[in-house]
Amino acid sequence: MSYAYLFKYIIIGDTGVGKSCLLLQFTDKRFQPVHDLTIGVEFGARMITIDGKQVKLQIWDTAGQEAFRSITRSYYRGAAGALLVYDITRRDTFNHLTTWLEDARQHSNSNMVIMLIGNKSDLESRRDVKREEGEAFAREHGLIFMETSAKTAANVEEAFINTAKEIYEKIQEGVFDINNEANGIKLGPQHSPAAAGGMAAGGLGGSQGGGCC
Amino acid sequence: MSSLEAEAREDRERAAIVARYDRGHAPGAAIDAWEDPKLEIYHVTDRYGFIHDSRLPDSLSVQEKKQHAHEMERVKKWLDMLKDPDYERRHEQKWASRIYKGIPQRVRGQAWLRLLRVEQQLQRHPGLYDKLRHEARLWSPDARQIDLDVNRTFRDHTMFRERYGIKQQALFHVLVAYSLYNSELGYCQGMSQIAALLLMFMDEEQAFWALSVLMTGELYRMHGLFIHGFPKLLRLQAHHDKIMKKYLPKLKKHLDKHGIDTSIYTLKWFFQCFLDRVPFPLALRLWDAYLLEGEVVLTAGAYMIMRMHRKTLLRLPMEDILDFLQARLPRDFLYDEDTAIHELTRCMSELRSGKLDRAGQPTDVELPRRPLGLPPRPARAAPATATAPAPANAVPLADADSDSSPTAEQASPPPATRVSIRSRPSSPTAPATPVGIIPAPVPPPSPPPASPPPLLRSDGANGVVRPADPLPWSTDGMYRRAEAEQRARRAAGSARHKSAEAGAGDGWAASVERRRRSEGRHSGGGDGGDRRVRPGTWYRQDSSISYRYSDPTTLACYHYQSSSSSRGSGPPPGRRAPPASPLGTEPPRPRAAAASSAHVRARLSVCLCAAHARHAGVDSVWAPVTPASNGLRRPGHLSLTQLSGDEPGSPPTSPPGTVSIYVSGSGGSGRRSPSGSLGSSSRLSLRWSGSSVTSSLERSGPRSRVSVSPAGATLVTIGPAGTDSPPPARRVRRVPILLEASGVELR
Repeated sequence: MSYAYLFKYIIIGDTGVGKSCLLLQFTDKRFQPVHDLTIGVEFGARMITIDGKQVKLQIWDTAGQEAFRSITRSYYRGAAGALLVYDITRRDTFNHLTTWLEDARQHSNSNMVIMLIGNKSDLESRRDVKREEGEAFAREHGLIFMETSAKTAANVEEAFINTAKEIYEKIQEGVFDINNEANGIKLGPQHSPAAAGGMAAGGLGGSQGGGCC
Repeated sequence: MSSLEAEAREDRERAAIVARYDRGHAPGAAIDAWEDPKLEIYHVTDRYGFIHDSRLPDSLSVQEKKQHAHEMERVKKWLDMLKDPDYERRHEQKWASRIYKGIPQRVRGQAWLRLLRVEQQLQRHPGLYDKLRHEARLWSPDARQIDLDVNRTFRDHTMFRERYGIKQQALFHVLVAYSLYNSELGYCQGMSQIAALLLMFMDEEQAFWALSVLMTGELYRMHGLFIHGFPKLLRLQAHHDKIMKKYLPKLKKHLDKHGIDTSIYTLKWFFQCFLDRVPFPLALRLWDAYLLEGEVVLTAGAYMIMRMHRKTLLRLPMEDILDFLQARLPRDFLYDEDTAIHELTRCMSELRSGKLDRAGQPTDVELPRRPLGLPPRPARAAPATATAPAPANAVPLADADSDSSPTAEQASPPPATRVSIRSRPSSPTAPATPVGIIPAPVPPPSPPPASPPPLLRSDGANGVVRPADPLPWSTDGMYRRAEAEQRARRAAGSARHKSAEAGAGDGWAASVERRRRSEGRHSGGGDGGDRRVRPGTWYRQDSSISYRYSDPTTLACYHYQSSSSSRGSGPPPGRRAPPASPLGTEPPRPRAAAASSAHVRARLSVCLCAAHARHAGVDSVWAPVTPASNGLRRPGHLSLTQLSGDEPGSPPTSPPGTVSIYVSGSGGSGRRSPSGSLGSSSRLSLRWSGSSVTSSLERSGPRSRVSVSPAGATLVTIGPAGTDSPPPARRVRRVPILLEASGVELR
């Protein structure tokens, strides 16, 4: 399918906060309570519409364990948006936001839009971080903030789409240099069909016959 | 039990059974879940134990039936084969070819245990696992992460489906126990899947030792894959690139064009030997081969997958390539297992003839540096304090060398860092340590003059503040290896000393390479001790030991204590060295009573003031102590990776971009110079990404400081403590670095 823009995202945050579940909810609209743990990076993509234009989101989901930061860091570069996720039921994941943010700021391009996400908002009874605290943190560091639930899908669409809108606005303002792919933004192919056409994920089934010798 | 009791019991049981039948299938009837015909789980579970989303076909396909019949035939052969305890040695080829044909599922557990030589490990370490498990439950610093991951490991498998079920319990315990056993590595994501796979075929203790062999056994050395910085992963990925360039240039170009880097898709291939990236039955077949051959299977397997699917991949755009490799292949590999394994062997021979079957020489950082075994429980690591800051006085920084006179640095304000290099009293009554357990030191009779600051480990993402690893460990196994190596080297000539002086890191790397070249290829697994042991096997460094820290942000206080030989002990040079043993796994042999009783003491302390170190990107630090007149006969060696910055909030203590390292040390022979000092030829080497600098300390010091500006590789200052006193303790993030130098000798 053709697109006008392609935005690269990265999802970061402590281990077990629900990064992969957010991605799965966004791309597949389903919730898998016990998701396999992510090692290194995984990848997802979805098309959305902003301002009547097709925008493709290419999302890199990263491992949260400290040891993997050396690997995930290389994905900061070339990302236009970042979803920084913490778990509202675990305060330590909130406390680590500063180090994540530092890391992100240090290794990304300066215009990267960062969305702060307090995930697991369905677990109100076990809440350990107040909504206001998240808001305050976001205000202080100039981030957009949202509480989501990958389980109930609350705000998940919005989180991804609002980030995209912000990036789109920045493009309109001329902040982003869209010709530089290192910014995580790509213009869609003018004549799209051949590249993405027949071989979408679902179309793969037919390729079996053509397997290699 | 008396016969009366038995009868009564039988009567009760019978009555209960009859009552259940009288009641019938009524609501409230006590029916076990598995007895219910409606229970869908049996219809959705495959023969490996995985639960599928939809009902599986009731009958097998023709091909599956054929396959199963074939497998049943092979089971007989396998059972015969496994009866012979020496089969793999006597019929090496047949053993290998049958493994490539696929180990029947029924005997896979037994075969894997054989391949990994788990039995030998169990015999060598009786009871150690239980001790580790017990200790780990009290203070494993990785319990939290492991808990998170057990909850996410093979939950679609019947064994691991139930939260806190029996196999989840086993998985948790294997991992926490291993995190203590190999405390340098601890736990890294990715290990849980491997342990779980092993647990599908073995019991808890077997799985633990199997995991241990996979991590540090000669053939697998997965330690290097999981240790900080993933050195082995990077080596394998670079090699994969090389193979792609040579054999699949077109595909490589295609991937490059779409910005698909090797590191994206090969990570799980190498980390878990294709688990989760190909269908499970094929993964098992690849594991069969991996356990037989080791690393080469990873290299060849990656090539095999790319080669078999090259045409498909060439047609796909970026997202679909990743989707294909990450999501599609695990569902359906498009080829059956036998075809894939056949292709694997073909790829292996192709790579062999192209001299690309081995991914280069492993580097020293891939090997465990710290002894394996049960570390002594930190004094303050009571169960409840796992997440609480440790009391300030608990870190036994004062070395166990109780009878040494206080030296200048002990009295100076930051009593932080001391490295003890001391000889073991050559008495035949050395305390016998249990196998594999690293003994705690004898506590000094009097406390050090000043309490050191608490050394905490902040476990980044998890917020676990860990107490610093505290105690001196004796390293018997390591040490004997060192001796043997030393003797061998002496016989070989003195070339090595030169290389050690040129830079301990280089010297060591060179020696390892030399050693490896002479070693050739080895078959079989095991921690290394059980077969064809040569003095100084790969995983340890003898004369100059460097430790790499797994968590660079913290560099806790690791304190090693080593013993040294004095001249006169041990066999004379040239005599064949006794076989060495794996680290910390052998009880100490009493020293010959005739050996000289002279003690050699050397103390080296290095205090790192790592302000801005992160920005500086310092990679490693070595502080080799070269042979000196004062008795440090062989180089000591120290290694650090990525020094961290100051504690957040504290003012920086070094100019931006520089790192200060405080070095103070003393060494000397007991009788001649009890408070001897570091030899004047002691040198400090710093090394970081791409650059290095080596500098002699200006004089043997109580304390010398060297500041470097890593970017420009300029040595800013170096001098004794008198001229440059250290900053106040509270402002400095002190990173004690401890150094073991073995083979300290009297001159």
